Parts: sequence; C-alpha cells; structure tokens
Amino acid sequence: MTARSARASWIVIAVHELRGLWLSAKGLTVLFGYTILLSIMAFIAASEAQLNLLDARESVGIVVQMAIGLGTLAALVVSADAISGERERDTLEALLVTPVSRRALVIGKMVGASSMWLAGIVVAVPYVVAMANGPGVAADALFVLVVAGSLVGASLTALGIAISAVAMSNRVSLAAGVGVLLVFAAPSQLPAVTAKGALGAVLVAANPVSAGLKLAGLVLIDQETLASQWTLLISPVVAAVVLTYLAIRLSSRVRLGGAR
Amino acid sequence: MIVRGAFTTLAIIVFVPLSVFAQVSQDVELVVNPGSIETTLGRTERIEVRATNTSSEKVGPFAVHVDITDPASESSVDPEDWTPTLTQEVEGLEPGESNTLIWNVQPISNGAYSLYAVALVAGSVEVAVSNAVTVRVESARTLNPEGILPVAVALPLVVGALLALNLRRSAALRRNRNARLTK
Repeated sequence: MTARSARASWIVIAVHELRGLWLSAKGLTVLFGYTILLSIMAFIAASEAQLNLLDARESVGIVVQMAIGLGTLAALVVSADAISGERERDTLEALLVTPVSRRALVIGKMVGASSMWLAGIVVAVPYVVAMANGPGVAADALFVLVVAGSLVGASLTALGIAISAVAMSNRVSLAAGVGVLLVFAAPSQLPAVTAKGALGAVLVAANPVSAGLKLAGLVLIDQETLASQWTLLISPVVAAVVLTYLAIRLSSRVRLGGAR
Repeated sequence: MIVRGAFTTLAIIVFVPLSVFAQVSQDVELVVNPGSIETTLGRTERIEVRATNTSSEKVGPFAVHVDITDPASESSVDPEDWTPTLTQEVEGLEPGESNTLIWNVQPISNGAYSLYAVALVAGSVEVAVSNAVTVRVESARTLNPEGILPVAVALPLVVGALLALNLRRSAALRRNRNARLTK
C-alpha cells in the first residue's frame, strides 16, 4: 500500500466514523446529556455568583473545569467503544477485510472520536463566554478550555482507543477507560493542604487530567497568569503524544478474537 | 526562703489572671449595633460591636468574638461562612473608654438568626456577653442570574432538536428500507 493510499484510507475511515457518530443518535445523545449537565452547573454557579456567595471568577472556573471533565469523559466513552464496539457488534470482520491497514483504521477512528471533544468545546464556548463576561476573564477562560481541554481530551481519546484495541468486550473497555479517568482525576480531589505539599504538587502536575483542571483553577480562580503556570501544560502535552503513539502501536493488536 | 518564693509565684500565677477574668466579665459592656437586621441573601451587612470599660481600672487586653446561631435550630450555622474573621483583639481599655469593632457579615442562607458577641481573656472561664441581634434573611433567587438563562435553556434545546430530527430521519430511513425489502 502506498503512502498516499494509506493516507486516503484513514481519511475514509475518519469520514465513516464521523458519519456514524453524528448522523446516528449516538453522538448527539451524548452531547445532549453534556449540555443538560453543563446548563445545570452553569445556572447553579451563576446563581451563587449573583448572590455573592461565590466569587464570579470561581463560578467561571467551575464551569470550565466541568466542561473539560464532562467533555473528556464523553470523548473517552465514545473512543472506548470504537474498536471493541465493532468487535462486539460483529462488524469488525467487515472492516478488517477491507484494504485498509490496521494503523489507518485506528487513526481514522481516533479522528472520529476526537470530534466528540471538539463538539464539546463548541457547545461549552457560549456558557463560558456568558459566565466570563462579568469578571472579564473570557480570554483566559477560552484559552484554558480550548488548549488545556483539547490536550486532555486528545490524551483520553487516545487512551480510550488503545484500551478498545485490546479489550475483549465493550463493557471491559468502558469500565477500564472510566476507571483510568477516575484514577487520573483523583489527585485534583486531594485536600488543599496535601495538594500544596511537594509530593501532592508533583502528583497533580504529573497527571494530565489533574494538571489541566489545576491550570483552570489557578488561572481563573486564583488569578495566576498563564505565563507563570505554563508548566502545568507539560504533562497533558506528553500524555497526548505518548498515548496517541501507544494507540497507533497497539493497532497491530487489533484482531477479531484473542484480544484481552 | 525558696518555699516563700514559690508561694509568691503561685499567687501571681493564680490570682492575677483571675482578677483579669473578673474585670472582663463584669466590667466590660458589649453592645451590638444595629439592634436588628432585615436583609436579603447575598448582601453584606456591617455590624458594630462597642466594648466599653465600665470599671474604674484598666481592662484588657481581651478578645471579642462574634457568634451566629439559629435559636429555632431549623438549620445549622457555621459563622465562618458568614465572615472570615470571627475574633478581634482589643489591646486594653482605660476606665470609661470605648472601642468599636467592625464586622462585615454576609448571610449564606435565608432564615432568622441571632448574632451576639462575647469578650474573653485567653484561658478565661467567664465571659462578657452582648445583646443578641436578630438577623432576618430573605431569599433572593432570580430567574436569570448573570444572564446565563438564555444560554442554559437554548443549547440543550438546540442539541435536543437536532437529536429529534436525527432520530426522525433514522426512523424514516428504516421504514423505507423495510418497505423496499417487503416489495
């Protein structure tokens, strides 16, 4: 297979995945649930901010953190279904007999699943702009949402695809993906005193999910500058690159049976 | 000689603080103003606590502490949610001298509460107590806080409408396919 045809085949798979996700009810159902949860959280945060029970910046930080958390969860759920779902629905065989390499299959599916997070960003922008208008932090909030959120979203999409490539069933793939997300998110729930300690700070910064959420908190709530906190983007960048590479490497393990 | 010195030290340790405690509890008058407060949720209210030395001797230093409670016990109150600084220090008051301390309190839930202040010396067993101020807090929820309501309603509606259209289209495609298969 030539490089050009290999390039074309992942585009074909990506287009097929995008159609499957957005022209069926799957993607829009997840997005509908995402908007409902975001609306509830934004309304509660805005109510608290209006009554001065919550700082206006803090309410923006909560909405951005919620958008990143829910958006990446949605992307993980969709990507965890990508290959193990095909295997479970007995449609993987049809894909594997097509003249498409397994690598192109995985890359195409990763691009398709990434659209879930992109849709999450598009939907979250109006909430963030409406909330950030008061305290005047719209630019910072959008930067954190788009940059930190996209890196975390890309990491977890690649993770979901990697798990999906080797998981025996969809249920195992989803459970493993959500379990890993919970482990990733755990350091962001450390008590303030522990998180400020040397070990706690390293744990938070080394973990792509907690680092992204921490960046949102520091910039939007604690009024730190983006320039002073850019190091928190290191682990999301590293995770996005490493997990994408891992997912592509694991493409050779995509088989009809015999997966773990 | 040593025994006498020890008794003197003990007398200083025991009696001097006791005399200070007595002065604070009996000779300091605390008055909280305003006498009652009607407010709405989210507003900040200024509370003045005037401490006056009503004795003929200097009193202090002592601490003045504000507390808030719900006398009807309908809700639990954490005063630190209302104001970050509950205790303030008074260096000392000369006879007849007054010192007014300010607290800015922000109620975090609606209801009827009592606010009062006490003056005490560290380790004291007695306190001087102020009048109790009734704080009535009305709820102040609005339908469109910070202008978020249009966004919070419109986005789920738009996505929900797209989902409904999608489901309808899928159902129509399924019906057509079944019709073709039947033919």
